[in-house]
Amino acid sequence: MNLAGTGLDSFTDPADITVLYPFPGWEVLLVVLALGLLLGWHIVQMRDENKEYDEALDLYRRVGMDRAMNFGASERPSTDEDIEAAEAEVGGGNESARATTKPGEGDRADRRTKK
Amino acid sequence: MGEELGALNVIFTEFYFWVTVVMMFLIHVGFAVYEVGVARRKNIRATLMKNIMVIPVVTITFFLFGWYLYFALPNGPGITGGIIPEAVDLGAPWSESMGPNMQDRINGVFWAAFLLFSWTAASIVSGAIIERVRLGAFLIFAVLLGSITWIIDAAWGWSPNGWMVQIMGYHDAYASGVIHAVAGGTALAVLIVLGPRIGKFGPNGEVREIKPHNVWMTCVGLLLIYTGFWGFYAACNIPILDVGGDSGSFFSATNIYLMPTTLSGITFNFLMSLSGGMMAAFVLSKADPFWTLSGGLAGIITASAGNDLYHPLQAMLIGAAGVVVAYKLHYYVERRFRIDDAVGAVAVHGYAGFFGVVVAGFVLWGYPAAAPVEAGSAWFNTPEGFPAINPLGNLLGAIIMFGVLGFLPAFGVAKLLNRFGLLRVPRAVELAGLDTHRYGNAYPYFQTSEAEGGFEDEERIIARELNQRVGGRLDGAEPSGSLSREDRRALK
Repeated sequence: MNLAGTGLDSFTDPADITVLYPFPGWEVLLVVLALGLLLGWHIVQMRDENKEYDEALDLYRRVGMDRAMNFGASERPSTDEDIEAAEAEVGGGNESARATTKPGEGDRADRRTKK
Repeated sequence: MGEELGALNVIFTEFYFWVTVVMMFLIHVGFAVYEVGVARRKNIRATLMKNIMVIPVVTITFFLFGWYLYFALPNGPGITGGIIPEAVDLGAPWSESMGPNMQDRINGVFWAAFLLFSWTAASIVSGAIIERVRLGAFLIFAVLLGSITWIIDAAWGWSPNGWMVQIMGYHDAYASGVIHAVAGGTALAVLIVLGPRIGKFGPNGEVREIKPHNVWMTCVGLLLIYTGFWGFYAACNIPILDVGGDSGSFFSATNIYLMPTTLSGITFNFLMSLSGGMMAAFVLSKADPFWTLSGGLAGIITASAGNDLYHPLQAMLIGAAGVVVAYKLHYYVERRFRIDDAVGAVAVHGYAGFFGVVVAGFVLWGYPAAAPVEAGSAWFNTPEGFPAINPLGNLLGAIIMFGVLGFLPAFGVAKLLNRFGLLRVPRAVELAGLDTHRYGNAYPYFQTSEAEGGFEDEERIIARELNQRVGGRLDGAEPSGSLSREDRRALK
């Protein structure tokens, strides 16, 4: 049975076959869809990047640049006491938030607590 | 039998280009490793993601419109003719040949080979502008260069029917100008608008060295680029073509202009130009590993325009000369114009590529550039009426590649992005590191002092000054260069 007539139901005469993909004739629609998705992706990416910087700047304002620069590569792992002290200082971190974070967000929550 | 041989030739060519694509993937791997090695620890993952996202963004746009431009625009349009109508059948994204098709075995692998050149072009720019460019802005430049400007220059100067080839006799067999000069020009334009990294230049204009976080990674990355470059060279050839003409069949590899060369010959020249470049860079940089390996790359890039025809010792000398030009110009431009090119991309690709195209015009003066579309219509012709390679055509060609298609469009787009504050990251984010908020420490189990070179201490002083000047707000007033929308908002 040829399901929905997607395009091909035999390879017995390959010399007569042109396109192999299903639903030939819909290419223009696929192109329009792809262009729309591409533009949408760029818009989402730029919005996400702007939001990321706003959040970062907000945090850095609260903790000061000296500490913000310590969040980076030279930071040593924090002790539990360090984490609690920093959470109290920035006023944003909490245990329940860290316990329910999605992959990737945990790092950010942890970093907020470092000295 | 003839039909079987013809089919075998087609399927061999399909497989040949398929293999070049796999090899060329190593160029991108090399660029990623190299850039990450150059980045400081606080910028590692952002740098990696910037380079990696070239792959999907440029691939999709190259499918949607890049490939069409190559077939549509060899005439300009408006120079030797109009837009070529048949381009729709070959390169339009809705064309039946832009997908699995039993009657077409070449279009996909040929598209992919060109696409990998697009990634390379975008990656060249990527390295120059690390540690302060916004990802969204960079991806726009990647599309501009990878799917628009470079492929237009390929249509003009890297196609047997291209107007630059047919009129000017432009010759650039392995893309000194077509890929490297255009990417170098783009990188320079973006760098001018973007500005240097914080701390790169002192208050009196003194140049400071911002060291790579991992020298070994940069070196391995460059070696991987060398490896992928073999695939690049192979992909610039047609492997089997009858070039016999009136004297009967004679099968040979050809360059992109369908003029004969041999894979054996370009193997000589690839290695000799690589060696010449490395030798020169070793001496100039006083055995600096980063520059010695970059010099090898610059050597190949310089000789590439004529590496289909040079003698190996000519390739070696030209490669070495190109490295001298690139190295000296890099430091001159850095000092004189305060251009912070983090990896020397403008020099290695832009200046070396430009120089290589010019040199090829002199050394290969009089060689046939391509079969004529209309005999005798070029500025300079061979006795048989073929467009002849000449110094003027290649000099103007180098200017078109670096300046007209490389620099100008990118400068315009950079200015536009800068106007909206979407070119550069906020100063505070740059100081803290692009990884810091989103990704965190890339080496959480390594404990080292970041103040080894004293550079981070200086950044802290700048950060404190920024805080004090505006009562705790981060105004981004220093240093020069593009201002982000966030910094502008803070200044109001």
